[in-house]
Amino acid sequence: MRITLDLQACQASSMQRGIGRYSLALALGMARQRAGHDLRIVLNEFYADSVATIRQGFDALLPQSHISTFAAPMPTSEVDRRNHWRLHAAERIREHALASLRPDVVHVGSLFEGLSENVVTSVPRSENRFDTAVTLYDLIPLIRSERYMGDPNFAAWYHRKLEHLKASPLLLAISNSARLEAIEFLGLAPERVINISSAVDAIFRPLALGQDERAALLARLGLRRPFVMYTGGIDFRKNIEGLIEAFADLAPALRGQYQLAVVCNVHEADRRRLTRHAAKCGMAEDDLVLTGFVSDADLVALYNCTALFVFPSLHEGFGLPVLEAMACGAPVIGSNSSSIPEVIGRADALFDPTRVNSISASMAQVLLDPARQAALRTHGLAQAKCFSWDASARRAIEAFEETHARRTAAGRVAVAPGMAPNIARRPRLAWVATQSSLPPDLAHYYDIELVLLQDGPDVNQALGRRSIAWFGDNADTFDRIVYRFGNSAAHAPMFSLLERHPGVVVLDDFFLGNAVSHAKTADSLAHDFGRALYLAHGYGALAEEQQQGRARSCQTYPCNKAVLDRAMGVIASSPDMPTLADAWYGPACSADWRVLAPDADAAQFYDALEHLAGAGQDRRTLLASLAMLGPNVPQPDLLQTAAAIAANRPRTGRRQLLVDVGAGLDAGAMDALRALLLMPPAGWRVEPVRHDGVRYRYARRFALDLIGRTDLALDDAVADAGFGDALVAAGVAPAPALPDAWRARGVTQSVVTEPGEAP
Amino acid sequence: MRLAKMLALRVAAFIMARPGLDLFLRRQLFRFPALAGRMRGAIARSRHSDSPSLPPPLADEAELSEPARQVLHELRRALDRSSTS
Repeated sequence: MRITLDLQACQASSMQRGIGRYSLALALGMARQRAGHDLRIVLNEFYADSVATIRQGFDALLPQSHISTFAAPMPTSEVDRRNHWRLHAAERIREHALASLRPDVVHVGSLFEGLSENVVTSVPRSENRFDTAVTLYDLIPLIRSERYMGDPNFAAWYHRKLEHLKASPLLLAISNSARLEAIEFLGLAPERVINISSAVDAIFRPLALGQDERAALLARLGLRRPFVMYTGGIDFRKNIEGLIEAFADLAPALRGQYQLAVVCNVHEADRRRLTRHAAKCGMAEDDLVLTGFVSDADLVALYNCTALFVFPSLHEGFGLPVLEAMACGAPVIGSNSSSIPEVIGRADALFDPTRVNSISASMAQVLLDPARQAALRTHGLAQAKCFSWDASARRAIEAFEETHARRTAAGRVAVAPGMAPNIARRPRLAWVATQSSLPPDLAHYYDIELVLLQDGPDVNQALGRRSIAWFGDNADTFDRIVYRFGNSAAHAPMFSLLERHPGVVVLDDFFLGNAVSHAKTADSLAHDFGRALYLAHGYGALAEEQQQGRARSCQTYPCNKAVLDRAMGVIASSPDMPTLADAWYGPACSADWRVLAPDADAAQFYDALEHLAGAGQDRRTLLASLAMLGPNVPQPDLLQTAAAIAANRPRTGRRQLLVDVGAGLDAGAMDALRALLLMPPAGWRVEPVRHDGVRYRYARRFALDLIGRTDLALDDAVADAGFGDALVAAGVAPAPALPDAWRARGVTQSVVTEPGEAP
Repeated sequence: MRLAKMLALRVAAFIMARPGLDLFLRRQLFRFPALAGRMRGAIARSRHSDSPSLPPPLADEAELSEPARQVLHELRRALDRSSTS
């Protein structure tokens, strides 16, 4: 099973919050516990810095090629209504990018993102080919809507995300309490919501702090007496006001022995409010200590130093600070509401957070009774061991397996392989070929129109036969288009048809150079022979053609890369072809191909075609759905959208060695580069590039000059790079800056010292 | 500009330190969703000053890679179909 994790929760501002830390720890757990499953990670290309950090985090656990990014038109933050088109386009583009990775299950670490940032999350419709699981942290804004839904922008965003949440076939709740809330407030079936619980990082543990170290820490934070500690947010539901009132309510003699430490980041306005509140409750100035942000190391030390940890929250999804404090051996008491009881796991350590005297009585009980403190410490350490990220990850993966098994079982019932589907209308199929070479009985599966490129005996009298012109006018009406490619002059018109109306390609011949050389130069897919040769095989092949002639090049080079890239799927007519493709264009180039013998029957052909077209159809569906979003799309949005869709296509072919020639080359560097162009390192394609001030462009005219092919004209198009490619400085030029998008995709910067040496 | 920003921050701090006044003013603001949205966006942007800046907008087809240009043509065809159907 292929599991894809959308870890945008670990990007943008969530990265610093509990949600980001939870998602990252769970993902690391899944990577450790994935057993035989194929785990992939998808990130938002816009947040390039966080991509680099996350890549580093998974370095020893996953191949870097299993971490990819998606691009989308930006900005998309939902709070700004001017982003409406881009936001909805970005959601569809992200779903399409996910689908192209062929996952069985996609897990979204945090769905409730993107209100004021460029994070894109959604749950695709149920007829999608993969299941989407979502982590459910809580439904607090829904349950306490009177407090959270005042802002109509927030309310609209939240309710839209809730609809996506409800569409998800699997919710991974972080506590049993959160699970029960989803069942009750969203009306979901219990089997769709699984409690995978939570855990804390291994840094939260008992420490043997030295006397000096402890004194220095406490002095730095303004803690002069033993202290009662709280950590978490400042939100009203955290009930810090209630905690201050309860602390003030302690007997003066007891209160005088302690300080109340609120350990978290505090904005100035909140600081003033809480200080005013403490003074109003009769507390002395140094009774309340607002430490502000502390590092993880300091936080662990504070947990280890505190006399008592109190968590008075009115509502939690889990209550991570409670578990952190227990794991450090602090005595812990907390609210008897929502998830906190299941984390604390001890009834006599709970209080009613809505009653100040209940909180203060519970605090006094512990502070006055050393034996009770010791019992709570012992209990906390044992209870904390019941939670681990590996256990949560295993539960999540088991839930994925069950959800996937349900879908697979349902799919088996719906369509049996090789069986003609029982549908009211057969799909319309355009069969574009030089001759009527249809598999027998294929008409049982499709309503077929033949588009024949040359005259000849018509063996399929029963089928309609159409001209190229007619096909050009009606191509959009077909559900499936098949091009049967061969290497003859008669196949030449097929290049422009495939360019305008993408479809599945059946390869009768692997080498297409002869057909390409007969195509019109106006055909942008075939271009002219030189261009096709360059696109498929690089500058070395161009130099060779100049020396040995075109006929020889047609025999030596397949020249079919543009066709393979453009095809919605490839059916090879011989088992050698995938091997040839991988050898010429890089490993996995033929990963999604189907091989069918020339005498394959209609059922086999139908299965292969539906599989390939179904996958390739996604792009047509995507573009159609974008068109449905509304007319009059501004030009910059259209351009950005096209760029994003193109960037998200899975890459095939050799890795690119992009040599920055912008700063000029000395004679030695020119010689070295020429040698690289003529004989690239094994597995690489060498491309000189130049930065035009905004973006990198291929320096094709420069390269043609360098290899002596001034008879050819290639434009200096915008360069494209992806995972595995490398950008290098040539000769005396300083190291070029790597564009953010390239950095996010995993393009590296290297230095080449000797011709022929791979970076 | 800096002075105006400092004043605005002080006013905001003054209001937020008084929950009753804060809630009252929020309710008035929420009566105008578009204005509230702009304000929320501005606050979010000021807080996320470390978030990446947007790439320069694309103005011309020549600023696209070749695969992106192909997609653009398909997208335009899809938009044309959608507008004529």
